[in-house]
Parts: sequence; structure tokens; C-alpha cells
Amino acid sequence: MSKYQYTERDVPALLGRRGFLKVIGLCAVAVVAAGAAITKLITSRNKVILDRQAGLYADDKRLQKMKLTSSHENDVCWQVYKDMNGKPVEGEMYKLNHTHYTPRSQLAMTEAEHHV
Amino acid sequence: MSNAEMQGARILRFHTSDKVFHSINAICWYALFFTGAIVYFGNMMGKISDETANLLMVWHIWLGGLFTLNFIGYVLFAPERFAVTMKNLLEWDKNTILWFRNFGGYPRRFFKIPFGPVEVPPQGRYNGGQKMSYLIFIAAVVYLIVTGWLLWMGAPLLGKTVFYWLFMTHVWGSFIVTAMVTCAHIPLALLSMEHFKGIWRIGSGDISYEAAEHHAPTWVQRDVIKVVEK
Amino acid sequence: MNVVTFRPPQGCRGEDGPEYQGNFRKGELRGIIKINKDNCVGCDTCRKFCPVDAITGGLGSIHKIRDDACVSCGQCLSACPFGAIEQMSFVEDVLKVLDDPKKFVVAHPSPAVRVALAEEFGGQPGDLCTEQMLNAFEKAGFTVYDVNQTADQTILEEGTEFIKKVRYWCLGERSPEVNQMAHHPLPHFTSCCPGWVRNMEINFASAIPHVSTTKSPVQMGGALAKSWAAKHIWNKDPRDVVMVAVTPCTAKIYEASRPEFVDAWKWNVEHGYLPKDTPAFPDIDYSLTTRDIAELLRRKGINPLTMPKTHEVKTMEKYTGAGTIFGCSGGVMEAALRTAYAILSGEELKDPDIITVRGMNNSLVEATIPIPLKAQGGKIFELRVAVVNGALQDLHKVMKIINEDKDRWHFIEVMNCPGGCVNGGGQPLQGAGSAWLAPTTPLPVKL
Repeated sequence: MSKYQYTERDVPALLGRRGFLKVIGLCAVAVVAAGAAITKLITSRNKVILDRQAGLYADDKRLQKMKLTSSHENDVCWQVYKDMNGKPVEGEMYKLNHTHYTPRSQLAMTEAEHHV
Repeated sequence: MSNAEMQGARILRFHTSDKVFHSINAICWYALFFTGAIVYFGNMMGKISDETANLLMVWHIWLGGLFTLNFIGYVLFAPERFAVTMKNLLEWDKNTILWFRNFGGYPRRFFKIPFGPVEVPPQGRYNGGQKMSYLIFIAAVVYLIVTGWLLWMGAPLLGKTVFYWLFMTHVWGSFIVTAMVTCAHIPLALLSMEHFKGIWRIGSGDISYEAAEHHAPTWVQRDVIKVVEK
Repeated sequence: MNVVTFRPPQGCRGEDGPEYQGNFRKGELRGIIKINKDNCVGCDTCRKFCPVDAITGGLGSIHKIRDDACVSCGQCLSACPFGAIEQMSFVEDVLKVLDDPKKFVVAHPSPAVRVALAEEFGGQPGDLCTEQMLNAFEKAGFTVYDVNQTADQTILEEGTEFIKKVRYWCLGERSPEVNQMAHHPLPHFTSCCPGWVRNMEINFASAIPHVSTTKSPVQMGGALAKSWAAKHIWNKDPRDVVMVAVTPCTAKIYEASRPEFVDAWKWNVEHGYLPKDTPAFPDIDYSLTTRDIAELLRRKGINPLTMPKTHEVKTMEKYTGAGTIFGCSGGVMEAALRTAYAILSGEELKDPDIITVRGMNNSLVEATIPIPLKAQGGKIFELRVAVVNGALQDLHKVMKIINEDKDRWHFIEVMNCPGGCVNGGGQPLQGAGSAWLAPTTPLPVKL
């Protein structure tokens, strides 16, 4: 026994083929638009990083044209060793240019340093 | 059909799928609102503990999941109801526009503001105000679902400017719509107990012919048919 | 976009405390990066960008940085959508010292600053503005000692160090020149990133013998400035030299405060150039970020983008392409390889652009570089290298691999910040924020 004697007409009659296609069409447009926006957002996430890197690589190319490609072509750096009477990684140069590290755990530390 | 023979009859307005969707949506909506707003304002005023805030947000996410599944379920398993609802909300005729001339007569009725003419043109299943607000509500549901998931999981992908605006629109958008629901949708719904009980009762979603004729005469005239007994 | 900074608070170097507080030694700056609890909404974004899991607080809670775990890299600060994370700043101290006529204030700018400084004045990311930057620094009262040059110096040191390791460990050589590497096995790790170094000391301390002993270019510059340059170039009393590092990095602020970095003072006292009772002074006095230096220039009414675009290159500003690419992920590796290849093979690389080691926006890059060994008649040595581009995504994976397979790579570059120093925590803020690098699948979801 039905509680009601009347109801709405069936959906196909109400919606019709045109209506159905309109709705699907709108949903498709919405999904594609959102997808395109999100894809664009994700692929340009790294643009700032890549642009700044490109700036430095351009600086590199500029210097390569001036025959200043590699660090060993910087005469000022070699001048340091001459002036200081030293060589890389040895003696006085080691003391100035090299360091050591400190193991740290979450526990309190005492006198725990690593030396060469 | 003739109005005379429909006196005292009952019309099925809310199908079971509509009622399930609406009830879960409504309860989740307010639970989401309270869990979110308490954390948002609690943090802003420094009056909420970290444990409480985190617990409320965990609930907020579970509720968000339920809210999401409810909407997707409605569209997937009751597409004909969803389609009929969207069709009814999106088709605006002259009478729909004219409803706004006096806002359905409610300003005069509630606040004694003599705004517009006294007469309300006959409306369909949804009157002008309902069409506008329900479209906003559905857009809000979709928007809050999408932004909600992005806010929870998408921070590494989105970038902070986008994240900031998603957050602000998610929070304040929900506050604005909650105000609309609380101050307009619910009080107006209570004006017709037939409709209110019809959508909320556990059982059949039918309403009286009289209530339907008063609220949506054009719907009764065009879309309501007699049930064919098999 | 603006960043809120704060003055160094009392006790920030643990000056009144014990030798160790947590895992900070006395003198080391702590709390450089702070979350302002009044502005935090609990969105949880910062925690997802922290490479060392140093942030506590779940979704909704006010988040907090655990100083003991924090490496001060500033990635959280860059990523916060609400600007709720703040940075300790020494701009006031540097302004004061610039006004002191007795002081010889030296700006020590990193590579990555020159491709980002323009952003603070309306330019675009990547606008190379070296000449204008140097002119602006001079106008502000700085002398310049370019970190790009000390980067070259670093390669000479680290290249030599690495080749000694290769000679000892791969080529079996035993001689006084290379025997010092007996305690420093491969794989060799770079050491110029202070975020990586502190991360390593806390979480991967077993790797210490593997990490290059070569200082970072900035710290090397500090030591050389107050020893070599003070004596041979500027003719200044090292006590009057104030070294101001200008870097894209907030971890450099921490690095400069490490108590061992007083080597120039030691050298001067040992050689008798300064009296034995001279109080110790740090090699780098202050470290400013790119944002900080922009603020300083603004306060002095200087806009680098209105400065002349020509600049006569001075002795202390000369650098090579290898030095400038240090700011890119893979840049240190490429620079080291250009020199290591030349030393080991006796000839220059035909193509100095070693694209295969460039991090770009990939979180991990591996490559094999064939090097013909001059000492072995041209026999090819396959040098295997890895570049960890951002500690967040693939550092753990790499450390796990080398636990199981020590021979997988000879040389590993680790940069804390995704993309390298160009995306450091001290760089001008951009809406795209701190980035997640490829691969983006599986989705970079951190719940």
C-alpha cells in the first residue's frame, strides 16, 4: 500500500536527450578546466628554481667565453698558495681551509669531537 | 489532472536517495563547521590546546571523508535524482526571475518590510530563492570537498600562495554558507512542516497535495502524475 | 612577500649556559628559525617540507620547531602560506658596523644571491645582476670578497682531497702524499652545505669520516680574509676586518657561529702577527640572507637595479664558471669534476658542461664519468657520482643504499635545499614557495 498517490514524472521524460547531454557536457568542461589548471600549476612549480639556476648557468657560459671555465684557471686562487707558502690540503693551508665535525646525538654530549 | 480530485492526496516529493543524501550532508555539514570553526578561532585567540585542536581536526577529516563519499555516492548511485535536481535548479523561467521582485513575499511576512508587490507568481518545484541558494549550496559542497582534500594532502604540490587562498576561501566560504543555511534555509524550511517532515522522517518522503499546491503550483501542474498501480 | 625577522635574543648563543645544551655547543646560535604561535593556523604545511622532521604538531595544532633536530635551513619558512615563521636577523649589527670608520667591512656574497637579489626590487627570478649588486655593496660601504672566488678555492682544496682519496682507495697508491686518507674512505661527501653538515652530525654521524674536511666557500673565505687577504691584499689589521657573509641560506647563520671557526685568529696568533692574549674572533662575523641584504640596502636608500651595469672586476671578485655554478644542485659536483678530470687525465674536458650531473628539478641524479688516467697511460677510470637534490626527498634513500653498497658511488654531493642554494631558505619569497621536485608520482603526500 503506497503512502502516496502522486509522484514526479520519470527522469527520461523530464530530462530528455538534450538535457542529459547538456549536463554531461558541463561536467566534462568543468573536469577538463580543473585538470588543465592543476596540471599547469604542478608543471610550473619548479619554474622559480629552474629560472634561478639558468641565471647561474648563463653566468658560467659568459665566463667560459673568457677562458675562465674551471677553478684551476683562477690565478688569484693559486696566488693564495704562493703568498702563504703552502699547498692545498697540507700544513698551514689545511689549518685554514679544512675543518672537523662533531657527532651529535639527542643525548648530552661531552668532549665528543672527531679529529683527523 | 484536476485539482479537485487531488484534495487530501499525498505526493512523493523526496525519494529515498534524496533523503539519505540530504540527512548525511546536513549532519556532516554542521559537524564539519563546528570542528573547523572551533579550531580556527581557538588558534586565533590562543584558547585551544594542541591536543584538542588536533583531535578536532582528525574528526574533521573523517567527517570530510564521509561528506565526500556521501556526495559522490548520490551522484553515482542516484544519477537520475541528481540530474532531475540539477535540471530543476538550472532552468529559470520568467516566474523564477519575478520571485525576486518581492523575494517571495518573505520580507513583508517576517519583517513587515513592504518590499515589492504582494502577489508571488506561481513557482515550480523550487522557487527563485531556492534555485539560487541551492545552486550556491551545491557549488559550496563541491568546492569545500575539493579544497578540503587539497589542503590536507596537497601542500607540497600547490605552492603557498595557492594554498593560502584555498585555505581562506575554504574557511570563510564555509562560514558564509553556514550563515545562509542557518539564517535562511532552515527557518524557511520550518515554514512548511509537510516538507520538513517529508524530507527528514524515516519512511516515505511524501507531502500533502495542499502543501505542494501552496509552495509549487507549477510543479504540481506540469510534473506531478498519478502513480500507476501495477 | 615579506618575512618577519627578529633580533638575536639574550642567550641565543648559549653564552651563559653549559658547554652543551641539547646538541648545541656553547657559542652556536640556536632558535634561528622560529614559528610565531600567534600567526600559526596549524595547516601543517611546514612539517611537510622539513627535511629532518624537526617540527612538532599535528593538523590544527600550533606547530613548534624542535631546536635540537632543526638544521636552520629555513625551508619551512619559505613554505609557510601564512608567513608565520620568522628568522633571526643581524641587519642592525651590520648597519652599525658600516658606520664605524675604524672597521673594514667586507661583503662576502654567494653565487645564488646574484640571480635572486633583483626579485626584492621588482625583478624576475634568474635576473643576473652581479655588476649592479657589487656596485650597490660598494655604495653601501662594503669591500667585496666574492664567494664565487672562494668557491674556486674550495675546488682546489676539495679536488685535491678527493683525488688523494681516489689515489689511495681506488688506485692502491701508498705514499706520504696520500696516506692521510687512510682514515677517510670513499664514498666522499661534499661539505659546503651547513644544513647537510648538521643533519649529518645529528642523524648520520657514522658518515663523518666520509665527509670532505674542506670548509664551505663562505667559511674558507672568512679564514682567508683575516689571514691571507688582510696581510697581502688589503693591508689591514685582521681585528678590524668585519666579514659579512651574504648568502641565500639561513643555515649559514648557524655555520658562522660554530666555535671552531676561529682559524684566522689561531693562524695570526701562531705566526706572531697578533699578541698571544688577543681575544678570539670568528672568521665570519655576520651572515645575512639575500632578503636581509635587500633590507639593508633599502634602509640605506640603495636600489641595486638603478646602479650602473658595468663594474671593474677587482682581484677579490675574480671567479670562474665553475665557481658560479655552486648555487645550483649538481654545481659543486660539476665544478669539482672539471678540475678533477683535468688533474687525473692531464687534459681539459672537451665539453665542460657536464649536464648529466645537474640536479635541475630531479630529486636524485646519478652519473658515471669516464676519466682517462694519465698516470696509467690513459686507462679509463669510471667515476660514479650521485647528486642529492634536496635532503627531504632522497637523502634517506641514498644513505640507506650506501649502508648496503659502499661502492655504488665514489663522490656524492648533498644539498639540503631542493634545486640547490638558489632555493635556499634565505632567498626572496615567491608564491610558488619551496618546491617538491620530480618525481611527483607517487604523490608527494605527507599526511
